[in-house]
Amino acid sequence: MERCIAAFSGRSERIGETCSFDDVYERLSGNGTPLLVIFSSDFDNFSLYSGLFHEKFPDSTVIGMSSDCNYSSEGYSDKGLSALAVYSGIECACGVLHEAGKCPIKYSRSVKEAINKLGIKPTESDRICSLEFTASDEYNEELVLDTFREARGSLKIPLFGSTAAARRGTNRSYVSLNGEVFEDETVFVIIRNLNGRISVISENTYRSTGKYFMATDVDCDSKTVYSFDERPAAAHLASLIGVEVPVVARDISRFPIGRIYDDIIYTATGRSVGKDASIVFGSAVYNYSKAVLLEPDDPNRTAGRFVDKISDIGFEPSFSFAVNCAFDFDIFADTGITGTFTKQIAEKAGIYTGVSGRNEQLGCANISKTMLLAAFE
Amino acid sequence: MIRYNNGIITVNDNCIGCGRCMLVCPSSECNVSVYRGGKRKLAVNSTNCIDCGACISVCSHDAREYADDTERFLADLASGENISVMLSTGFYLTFGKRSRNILGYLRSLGVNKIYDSGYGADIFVWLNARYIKNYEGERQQRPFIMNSCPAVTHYISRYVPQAVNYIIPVRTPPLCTAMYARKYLGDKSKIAYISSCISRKDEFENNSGGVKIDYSITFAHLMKYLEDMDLSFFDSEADLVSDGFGSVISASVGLRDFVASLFSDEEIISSYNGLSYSTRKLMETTGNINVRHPTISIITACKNGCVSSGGSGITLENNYEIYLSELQRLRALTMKKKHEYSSYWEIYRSLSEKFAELDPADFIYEPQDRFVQQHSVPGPVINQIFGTMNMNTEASRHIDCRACGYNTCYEMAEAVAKGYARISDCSRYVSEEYKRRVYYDDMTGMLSSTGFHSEGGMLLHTHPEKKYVICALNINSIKTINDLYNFGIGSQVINYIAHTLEGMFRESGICARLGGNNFVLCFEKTESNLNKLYGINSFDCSRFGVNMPVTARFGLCEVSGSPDLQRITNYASLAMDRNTVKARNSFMWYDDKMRETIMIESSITSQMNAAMNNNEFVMYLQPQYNHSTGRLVGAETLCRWIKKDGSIISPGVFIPIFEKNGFIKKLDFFMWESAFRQIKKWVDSGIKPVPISVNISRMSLVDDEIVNVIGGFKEKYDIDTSLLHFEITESAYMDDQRSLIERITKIRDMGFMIAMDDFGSGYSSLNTLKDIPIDILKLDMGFLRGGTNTDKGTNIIGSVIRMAHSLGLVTVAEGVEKVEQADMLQSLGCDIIQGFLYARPMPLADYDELLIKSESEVVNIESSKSYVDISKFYDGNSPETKMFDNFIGPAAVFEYAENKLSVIRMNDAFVSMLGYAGVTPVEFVGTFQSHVSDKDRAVVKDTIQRAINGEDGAVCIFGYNRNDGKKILVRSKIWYMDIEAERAVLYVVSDDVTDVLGYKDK
Repeated sequence: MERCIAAFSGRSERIGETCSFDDVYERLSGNGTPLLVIFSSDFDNFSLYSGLFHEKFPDSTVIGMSSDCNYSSEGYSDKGLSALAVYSGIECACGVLHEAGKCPIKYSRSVKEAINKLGIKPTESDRICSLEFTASDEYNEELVLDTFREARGSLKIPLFGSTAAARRGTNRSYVSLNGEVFEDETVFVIIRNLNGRISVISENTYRSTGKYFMATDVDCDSKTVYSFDERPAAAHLASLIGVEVPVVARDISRFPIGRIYDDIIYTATGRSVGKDASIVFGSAVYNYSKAVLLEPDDPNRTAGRFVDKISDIGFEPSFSFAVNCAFDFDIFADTGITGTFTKQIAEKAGIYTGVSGRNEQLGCANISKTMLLAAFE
Repeated sequence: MIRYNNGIITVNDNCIGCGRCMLVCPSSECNVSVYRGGKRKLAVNSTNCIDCGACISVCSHDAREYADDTERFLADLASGENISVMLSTGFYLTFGKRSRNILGYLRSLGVNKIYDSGYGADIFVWLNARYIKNYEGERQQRPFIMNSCPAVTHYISRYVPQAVNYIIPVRTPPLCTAMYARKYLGDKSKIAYISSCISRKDEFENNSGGVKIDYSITFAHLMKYLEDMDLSFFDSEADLVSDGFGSVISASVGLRDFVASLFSDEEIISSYNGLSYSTRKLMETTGNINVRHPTISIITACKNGCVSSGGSGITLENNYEIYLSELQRLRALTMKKKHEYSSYWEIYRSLSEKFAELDPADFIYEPQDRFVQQHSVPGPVINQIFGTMNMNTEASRHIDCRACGYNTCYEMAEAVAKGYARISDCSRYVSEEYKRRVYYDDMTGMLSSTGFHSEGGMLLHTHPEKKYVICALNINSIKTINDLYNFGIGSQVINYIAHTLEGMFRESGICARLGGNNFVLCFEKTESNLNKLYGINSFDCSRFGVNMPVTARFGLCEVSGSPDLQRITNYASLAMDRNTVKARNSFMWYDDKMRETIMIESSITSQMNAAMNNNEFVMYLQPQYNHSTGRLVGAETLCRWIKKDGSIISPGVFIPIFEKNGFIKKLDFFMWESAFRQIKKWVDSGIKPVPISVNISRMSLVDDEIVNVIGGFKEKYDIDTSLLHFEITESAYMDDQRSLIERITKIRDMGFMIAMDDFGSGYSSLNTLKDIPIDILKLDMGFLRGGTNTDKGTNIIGSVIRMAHSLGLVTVAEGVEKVEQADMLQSLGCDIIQGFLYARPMPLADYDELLIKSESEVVNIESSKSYVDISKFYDGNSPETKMFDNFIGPAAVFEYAENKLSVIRMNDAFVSMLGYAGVTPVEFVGTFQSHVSDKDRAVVKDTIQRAINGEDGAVCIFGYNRNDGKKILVRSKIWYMDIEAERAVLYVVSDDVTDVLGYKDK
């Protein structure tokens, strides 16, 4: 029996059709009952696939999210379905955090129960990780991260995940756990790798310009920054970039900033610019915290660095799971390197599947324009 | 988007940001620091506000306001709306006997029914007791928090979600009253609730569970409408009142007493007034299986119960008399009622019987979840903020003084991260930051002036046995660097030099930046330290692209013991100021001589204004003469400072000081007006004056004021402008020449003549002479004073005079002290002589006298003959010789003794005239007799004798046969000069007059 199988179908189909699922199911079904299935699909057929997975694998933990690009070691497409089934060598426990955009902490008990179920010990943090998918139109993933932090207490459980991709032009996105589909929830699975370590790596797709500044007036609740260095936020950003404010307002998502905590850059992307030149970000930007202006890195070089990091993890991955920013995939598509990139990951990370969503989560940080990968020994 | 102040409670402009409100606010994220015009104010983050009104009660600046429905209620009532009124039980406690008048007035406005919510309170308490007594679940799970205070309920639902299910599910007393009125009394009208409670508005609008109360009216706002009215004519009472128990629940422990009366003594009925920190912490334990809950907890947001809420409009202390007497009345009713029953159970049973007809389901409160999870700020962000606030140790992060309004430093840092607070809200940070800013220079990180004096004083005090050097330094050319490159580069240069100095002296002393490009160092006076300092010729700033050597001027002062460091630093700075070398790093020590100079400067400066007011500045005049005629032709006005005690301060002392401190301009104006006034006076008194000149200092020429001032004097005194000349020192022409020429031209256009003073003393150039519109050239006689270049000086003076004449300028030689100089100048063509030779500067009275005499008298300067230093004619390099050789016509100097004539010198012109080119003086004497007839020799001999006998310039004409055979007539003028070794020295000036007189005519 194979330990894991990745399956992919890039068929473009009408809502309600199951051809992609059939392709994937055919690939996954001959290997026994999987312990865990991680899947992603386009928005339109997500609910259908979620139900079908649960129907076909009722005893498995099946977790998934709507994704802009579905990719795996088998291929990639912005349509269809991609999945990874793990059949052995892991233990997992899952749960749901409701009201993800408002107060997931009220449901922190489900995280605690999952931790208790696995009986996680403080000494095994290198073979435990928590994967979460969040669907919410509130852009409050920080609350989910706070909930995990509160729930895990002193245990070190590496966390990574993604905010599900929304249907184009809307904020609606889907996640699912064991057949149930949610729109304002976080679904999570805590995984113990019985065969060895788990390593999580990350790579920013934007690089520092060396132009530093500081947020000096923020409303953390609405993730709005009113001023950088005591100047209206958009005006200051525009002057650093060397463009006019309307350019920043029009293309705010092209001008992410890097928040710097402990000398690590965490990317935050703006969502909108207000008439008062304030900027609403997709991630929290805190007052008096250092930030740096970012600029797009060469996609080839970024992808290369990411693959190099996979090579450097120090073990041969038996399977992996990748999280990517939808924006990055747009750039890769524009540059024509998506195929090469997904193949290079397969060469280094083994069998894998990946999702691309709106934001990424890593540890305590809600970030964007970042590539993540968890490799399982 | 309005970020703040968009809820029920708002802040107005009275706020000064004192933060008192924060200390009583149960929510740490409700009050937000905002800065307007650099001043801290607080705003209400309405999302997090529970509208308890505690801030209003404590604000002593009337900065907090709140919204209620009083205005709408009165307007609707006036428009005929059918409205019933419910009264809070605090109404009677607040207004006492006036209550009936107010109710009467409301009735007069058309109010329908009036309900005392004490009745609803009876229902409320009974239902709570009923709920507890009938509860069948686990004791620990049993709700125990009474839903009596809307602010508390709001707080729990917003901030303590785990306690929401522990609120006893019974509506609040007003809602019970309203439900009773609507359902059981059939009141269909709108209902207004009058109380002192601000948070009722939120309850009625957002948490009423479907029971509609249309208006929340506060005592304070209602009484604003009624305060000027005489309500004594009105009288009414409520249509529905409590039997007694519910009437006192607004008083501090009224509700607890009532509840307790329904339970046995074993049951714990706890009561907490005010949402204090400890009460809030206690609430957070709700649901904890290890914490035993009381039977019932009554929590009110207001510390003295509902009667003292923020909307009461009057403090309990100020209304105590009414409150106490009304409380006494109501408690008497309650006690009377209570005494009708023998036990708590009977009271409960009687209430059960009384309300038997009520359906408890009508009064059920459904807890509302208003919880919003707060962001927790990541640790690294908190660390960053603490770092910004210089709170880098654990101890410093747990000061928890609460001065900022937050309970802990951590809470404050979190609020800062979220944008609710500013780091400047921390008084410790502000005070340390203030100290840091005062002690340290922001740009370089070095000590500031204050820091230097503090640290330096300490250093000197600690080591009184050592000698130290205070060294002030100023970086040269920073302005040039800023102009040529930019201010950023200028700052980098300053930083670089700062760090270079610190690198040199950090171990052995201290360094500070005083501001701009000024620094000060204090280090031990050792050879090694001084060598370090002297060792730097310049600062290499090429790394910043500044390729010129950057240098500094250093002033040093030795110090030992514990002197006044500020004073010593000033001394070093003074030494630095006097150090003008900029080509390389240059060093000047402060010494006693410098100190003396400074003292004099300081003394002069301190006296000058008083001196001007006391007329201590006096005009002196130094006459000018035509040396040829001996006539007075003019005078230069000079200023003298004669103090009241008669002592005189030399202009050589005070003028440079005035030029430095700017007082010279004032003195100029004074002297000009004095001159104008004096000329006018002379003319008016019939004295015919000669022109006088006044000086214009360099500083007076820097702007156009001079033109206005002189123009003003001209208009005021209306003098003949030819009588006044203005002298401008030649150094002034080094400044902005274009503007200077414009100003001088304007003065000249007024009719005044302009003299260039001190020509030849410094910076003159031929261009200057060409370009500047002047009329008179005053020559500086320094050319001829001392040194070895006097011969050249003479040549130059001759050339300058000729050049001046060619330009049409009058020449004046000043500083002429000896007649020889005057003679020489005259021989060179100089027009006017000024100097001690003729007259020293004199007071006005003396000059007046001189002026009067000058019309009839000619000054006779003693002939130069008796003064000539003959030896100079023996010296081929002396000025006299040079003058003799080059600037006069044929001349010779002879010795005459025992009828023998021998030549000392003869100039080329003389030799040439007699056709003796190439003949030595000895040869000349040997041949002279053969060229002159005996008769003519006798004439010459006679003339010589006349000259020796005193005739000034004895003249003779004689024939002379030149070697080339040409016969000429020579006219000689002979002066007796001196006796040298018993031989008469004669000075002979000759000319060839053959063509004038004709040889035949002789």
